[in-house]
Amino acid sequence: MTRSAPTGRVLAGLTLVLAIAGCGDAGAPATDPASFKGQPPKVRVHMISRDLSRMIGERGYAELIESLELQERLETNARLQQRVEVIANRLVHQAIQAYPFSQDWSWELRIVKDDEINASCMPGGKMTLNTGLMALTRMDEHKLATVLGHEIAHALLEHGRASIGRSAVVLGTLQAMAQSFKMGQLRLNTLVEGMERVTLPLEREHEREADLLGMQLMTRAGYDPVRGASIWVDMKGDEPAPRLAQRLEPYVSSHPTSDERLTNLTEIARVLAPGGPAR
Amino acid sequence: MTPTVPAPTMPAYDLALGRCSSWLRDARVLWLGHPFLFLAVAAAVVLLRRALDLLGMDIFIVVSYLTDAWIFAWLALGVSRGRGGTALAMARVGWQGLRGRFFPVLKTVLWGVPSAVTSFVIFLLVPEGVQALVVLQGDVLLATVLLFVALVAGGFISMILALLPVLAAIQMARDPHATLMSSGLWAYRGLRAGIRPLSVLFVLFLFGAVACNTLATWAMGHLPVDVFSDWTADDILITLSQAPLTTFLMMNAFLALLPGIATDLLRSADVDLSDEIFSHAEKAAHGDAFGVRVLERAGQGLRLVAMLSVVFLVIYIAFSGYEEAGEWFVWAVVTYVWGGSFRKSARAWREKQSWSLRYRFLITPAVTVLLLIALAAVFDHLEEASATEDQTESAPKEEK
Repeated sequence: MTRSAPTGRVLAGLTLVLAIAGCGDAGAPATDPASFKGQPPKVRVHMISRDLSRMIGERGYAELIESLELQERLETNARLQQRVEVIANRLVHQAIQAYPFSQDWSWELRIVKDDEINASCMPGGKMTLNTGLMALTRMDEHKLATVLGHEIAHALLEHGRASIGRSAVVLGTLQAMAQSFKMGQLRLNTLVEGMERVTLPLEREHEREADLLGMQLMTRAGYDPVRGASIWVDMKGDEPAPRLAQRLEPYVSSHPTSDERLTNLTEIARVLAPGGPAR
Repeated sequence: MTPTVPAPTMPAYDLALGRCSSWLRDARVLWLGHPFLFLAVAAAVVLLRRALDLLGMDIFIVVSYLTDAWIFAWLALGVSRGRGGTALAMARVGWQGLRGRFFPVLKTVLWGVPSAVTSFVIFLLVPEGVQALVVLQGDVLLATVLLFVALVAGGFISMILALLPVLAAIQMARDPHATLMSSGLWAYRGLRAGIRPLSVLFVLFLFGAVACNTLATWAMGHLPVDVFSDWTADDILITLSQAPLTTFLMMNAFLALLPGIATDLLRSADVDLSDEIFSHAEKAAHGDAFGVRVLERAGQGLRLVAMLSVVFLVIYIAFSGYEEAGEWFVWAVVTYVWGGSFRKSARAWREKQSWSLRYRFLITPAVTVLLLIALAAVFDHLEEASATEDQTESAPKEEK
């Protein structure tokens, strides 16, 4: 069936706009644990430059560290810091080999006194690790390497850069529409919250990509992927969520469910482990 | 054959989809004819709002609604009456048309209140509703697509409603006999008449905003980093997400489109409510009947929203627990009571009862909110007293 020329032009135009809007988001996820090629991520049209992304990451980190210092929430135990840095350095060594553009990043890691189970690595290689997460892993270096590898993978895959670009396009468009039609801040905020939920599947895809590359990095750095993957047993905890609440989790969370991550990481670990198909 | 006189409560004119292209053509000619006028007015509107936002107090943001009403009415009057002249001449004609109508135009901002409340409720309830669907049905992809479609549809309804006070302000400025009620009804009828071309316009605006903002973000995101040498990380992120260039360009488009849209829509509304067809007395009677119908429908809508809220609430409590259940329930009850007050107001208007009964739909929420604030203050006070008591009791133990 042939389509009339004006309709075709309109559809082509809309497709182009959608394609441009989607650029800089998730690329094709790496799904094969055995195919670690050590190459930079595929060429994507990013909304912001790598330099700007790095600048935002480094400045954001400097501001965060300054405020944590004022609140006396930075860990000062040198032995603890050194133990974690050993793990981080081994991972960074692998990261630089695989992604040479990260060679001139000023890698750094600080431990934050916070019970929340969290860690981060900003564009530019600035990392934080919460004491809550260290307590959960009981300082198991394989589990810590899994977590730090995952965070480093986010930075290497430039997920932060992609998220900043996507947010700028989505929020900026909503802002421009709201201003044009005089929509108040309260309404705009509720609309933004709803729209952020629409983009959550892209965030979850980023997490899956980072899970895979993180496991590959930690394995190459000499850690045991099977022990590392077991961190998700600790993360899940003992009490299962109500059955129907479990249905809600994949919809409202920016991360895949703990069950899904445990299954995926166990499978990745099986492939990467000594004697596995990747070895 | 005697032509049938159309009743004002009958559906208004239904403008064709193609009217949108004539609005766009008209806007292009207008903007190209007077680029500096539109650039200046758009800059003034955006900067004024930004300045008022920066003051950080809600009361100042409300001021921007008032100034917008003046600016939009002035521009629409100037362009429709002074078309063909210079930008300065149009500005002068607009000013002369607005003179003596400043306060009545300001009053039309009140039409923004029901608009704002309705679209806020839509944006609040849509994600909650979809969330309830996920809990019941379990398909995340379907829910995400549904949420996106629902938010776009909600955006369209919001745009239509946001135009209500704008058109009411223009109607109030251009018609010396217009009242607060008649200007709002005129605007409402005009929007109903233009719903089809407005839907096309919304889609074009949305895609225009996406395309423009994507290009603008890319351009800003690829400037040399030295440009941002004095900026904090937050400054960069906020500037990127606030899309100042896109906002400015879209505001230009909106202002250039507004005179054409307003003239067309208000004329369409005018066809069956004009003085040529009805006497003032008839118009008032029909206008009242129309207002009564709007009140009844609004009341039904609010009660429906309240009932749906309770349904969502039950789903959450039953299956996943919900921390804000109490608060949610209170608001559902308040909304239901408010919906009932609309029904009673409609009856009071129909039976010409006292003003306090006729404006019950405004008085009820005001009284309820005051009551809730008073209750919250009492609870806070009691909580503070109990906390102080606890501290006093535990202090001697700590000393020991």
